[in-house]
Amino acid sequence: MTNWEKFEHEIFDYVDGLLSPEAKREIERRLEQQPEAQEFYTQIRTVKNTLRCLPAIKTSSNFDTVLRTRIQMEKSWSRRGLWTGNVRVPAFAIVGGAAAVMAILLWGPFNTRNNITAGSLPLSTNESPYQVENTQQLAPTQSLTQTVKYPMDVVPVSGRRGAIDSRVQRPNLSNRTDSLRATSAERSIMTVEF
Amino acid sequence: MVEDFEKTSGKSQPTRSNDKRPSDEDLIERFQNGDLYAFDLIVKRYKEQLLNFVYRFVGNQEEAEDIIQETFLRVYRKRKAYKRIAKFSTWIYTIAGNLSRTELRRRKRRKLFSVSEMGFEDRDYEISDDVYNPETQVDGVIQEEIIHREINNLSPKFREVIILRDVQELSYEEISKIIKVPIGTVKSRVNRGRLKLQSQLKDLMKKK
Repeated sequence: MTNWEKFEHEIFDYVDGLLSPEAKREIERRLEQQPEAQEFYTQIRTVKNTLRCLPAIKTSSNFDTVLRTRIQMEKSWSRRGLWTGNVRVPAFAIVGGAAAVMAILLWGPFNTRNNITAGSLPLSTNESPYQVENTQQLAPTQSLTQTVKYPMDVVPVSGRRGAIDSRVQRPNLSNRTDSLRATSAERSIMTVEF
Repeated sequence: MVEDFEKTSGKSQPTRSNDKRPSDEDLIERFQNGDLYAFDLIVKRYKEQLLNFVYRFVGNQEEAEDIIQETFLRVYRKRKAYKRIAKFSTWIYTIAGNLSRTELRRRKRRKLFSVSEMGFEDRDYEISDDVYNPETQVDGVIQEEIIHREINNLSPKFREVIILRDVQELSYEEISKIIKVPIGTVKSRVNRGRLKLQSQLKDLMKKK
């Protein structure tokens, strides 16, 4: 720390009234002898005085009313809420949270199964009901032809390569055992082009 | 019993334990035991000085009032959590400071900060050459709007300690407990904050 930096710290302590009487006298002697020290002290004192004299801000006229209303709402929620250990959770929060979870669970698989578009096809995983073969890393302008096998659905082969027939024929329940016995060669394979 | 409370001045008040005026710690203890009037008195004592602290910290009065409301709500909810080991003022300032810092972080993420929020409500702040007008300094005190702008230009960690020390006039020990840093660090930040303000304002002060 340079001498000037040390002096700055002493000035701050002097302005805060934290110096011993001997240190205070030493600072005052130095302030009398050095004009730049006196100027620095004057500026710091001006800044401190300005901050101390900032006008006080008042709260708005309805501050107390709003606060009381919010406290009353807290009290009424706590009366209607449910205890979960040490935390009381409002009933509407539990119902809303359960509804949101159910919506996500129902919508998620439904969305994945029916909206098969480029880029949204699920990758082949152990959990996925779909099996994607021959995946390749491609540039965005390239197209990829992937063969997708749907184990349970019988999808008619379209005459046009790459088109997805939106009419999915599901096996007749009465013929279900027959379709299950069908070999993989006899099963329809749908070709998807990206 | 008629309790006579002086008006709050926006600055921190020392807690006197004379017979007429109960201390903050007495009031919170009464509130913990179910005396809601004690809570009203706590609100009356602290709302102005907390508002001044938070307003200078976040720069917007409306947001500052929301933060103060939330502070008192938390005091209401968590009254049992206060233990008489520390001063009540330390506790409530800690809550207000934490909420203010959260708001600043949230604002930074939202990137909604604009120059107009630095000024006073209903007035867009214009950065003009008037800042160098020597008439802006009167009797050794710089005009409020200029110092308010320069305070907002400080980084939050310097701004907070400057406000607590030089505006709220809290001791270094209390500031150290509120923001949970050592006293040496508090003093260092206060000094650096003052130096930054002094360097921003010295041209203005020289012109007088």
